Amino acid sequence: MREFLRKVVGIDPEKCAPEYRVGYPGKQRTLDLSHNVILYLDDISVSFDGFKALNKLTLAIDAGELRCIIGPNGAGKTTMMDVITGKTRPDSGTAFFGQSIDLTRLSEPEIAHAGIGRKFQKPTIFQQHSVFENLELAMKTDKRVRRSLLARLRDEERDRVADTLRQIRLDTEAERPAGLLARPEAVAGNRHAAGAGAAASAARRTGRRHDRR
Amino acid sequence: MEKSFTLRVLKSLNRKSWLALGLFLAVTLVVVPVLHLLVPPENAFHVSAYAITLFGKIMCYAIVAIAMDLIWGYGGILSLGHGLFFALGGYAFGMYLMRQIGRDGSYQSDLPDFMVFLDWKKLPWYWSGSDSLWWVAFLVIVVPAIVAFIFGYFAFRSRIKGVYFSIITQALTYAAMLLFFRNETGFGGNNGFTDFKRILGYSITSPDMRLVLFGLTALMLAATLVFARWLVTSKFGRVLTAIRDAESRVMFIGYNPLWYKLFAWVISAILCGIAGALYVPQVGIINPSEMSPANSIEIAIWVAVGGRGTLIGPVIGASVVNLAKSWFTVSFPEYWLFFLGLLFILVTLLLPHGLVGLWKTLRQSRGPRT
Repeated sequence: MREFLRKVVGIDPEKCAPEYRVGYPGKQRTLDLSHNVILYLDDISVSFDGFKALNKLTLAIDAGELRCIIGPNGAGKTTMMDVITGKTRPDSGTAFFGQSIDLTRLSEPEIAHAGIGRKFQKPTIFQQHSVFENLELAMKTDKRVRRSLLARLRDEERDRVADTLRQIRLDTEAERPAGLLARPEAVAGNRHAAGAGAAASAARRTGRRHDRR
Repeated sequence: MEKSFTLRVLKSLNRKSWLALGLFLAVTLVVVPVLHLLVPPENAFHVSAYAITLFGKIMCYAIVAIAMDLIWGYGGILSLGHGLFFALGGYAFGMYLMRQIGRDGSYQSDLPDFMVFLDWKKLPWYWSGSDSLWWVAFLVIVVPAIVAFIFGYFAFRSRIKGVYFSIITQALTYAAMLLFFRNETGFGGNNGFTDFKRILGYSITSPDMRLVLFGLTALMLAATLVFARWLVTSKFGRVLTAIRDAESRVMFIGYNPLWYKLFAWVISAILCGIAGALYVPQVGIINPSEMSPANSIEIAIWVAVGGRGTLIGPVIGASVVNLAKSWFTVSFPEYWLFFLGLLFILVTLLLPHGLVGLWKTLRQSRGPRT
């Protein structure tokens, strides 16, 4: 995990400054790791029509830590992931990314930009798009409308997608529609390598383990 | 941005498409005017005024169909209220046409006839400036855009999707129709606007004006095609189709679907408004029935018949259905709606990708793929 953070995300957990910027230029947030805690859920409760999916859940994950969440059906694993990634707002409690980013106030795309990625139970890829385009869309960049309209893929971005394609051994399939791949998970599973996520690998890992029950 | 914007727009179409587009413009801007003005009516090659109006009308519909396809075929958002934006553009331009009548109306008043009839003494505030072509051209774009923005912002922010969204758009256009039916709204009520006389002082019924309007519509259609092509081949287009296919994934990789959908939605509404503004002077009338839900559903049928998710499909669909309509409503007027319903059922069952999809299948089955 530390290896992963160092190599792919470019953060050395040991030497890491307690604060650094996440997001893209123009929409950055400060991820404050001064207490070495990257994800902190406190007293989270979520209920759906009276059914308590989460009951006062408290969980803290350190930077660089790998944590797996397991449990029977209906234990609330997915609900927890939903709270962390912004899909569900908790009825009470707080969820912080680092010391300062309040996850309960951000939208899903904002949380994704802060660096928390998510993989679903069902493999989700853009089937109509080519393998290359799947990675292009996932790549970390300014994702606002204006830039999508006017900007072209820069050379270094193209190289990054090509590197990732080689790494996941799909470089020969780059132009094929992703829906035609035999194992679509191969693309979706490597999203973090494409740089969609950043520091919250711990949180993401829990999600991936959990979703592959 | 290494390459210039113009170059990228040029590159979004291949050579064959540019050639086809050039041919289309040559026919509409040169051949048709020559055949209309210079060839005598008894000659077989004469293009009649009826044909020009019919094809002008169909080109307006084709623009609407492309606009519909942008949000339905590419964005996955089925709107059953696009007739509203078309009618708003039409009404905006209709205000100018009403003012151009001047004192030639049946009451010889400066006010449009229906206002005299209602015993109004002066123009309502929202008619101010309607005697200026530029102001009205501005309204044609801005009014549909504002309505679409406000409605779209709240609908997409509340994450209303699929059939619920379609039903709400239908309710929206229906409500607008009821509003415009009222005389007090100040848009001619039931009868709408008609009996136009001139544009910029030139008679609207003259052959020259007819050809100018026809040519403008052809230019607008060509521009819409190029613009739409550029849009769907840009990264924006890829994000839009990604939203159509897997919206939640798009959100979790950091795109906010709200702004993408809203942008496509507003662009679509603006294109409809422009088409409406070109339609009204050619057809000579605009009334609230343009906002009826049935009209908006018909737009969806054009796109479905032609082929969703392609740009030429909607153009073909709008042309085929409307040519069939003008033939049917003359030959078998009472059966047209049955035919339209049948067409929709058949296309949905047998041709999920429309006529364009049928063409592609036929070509593939005939020979080895190239």
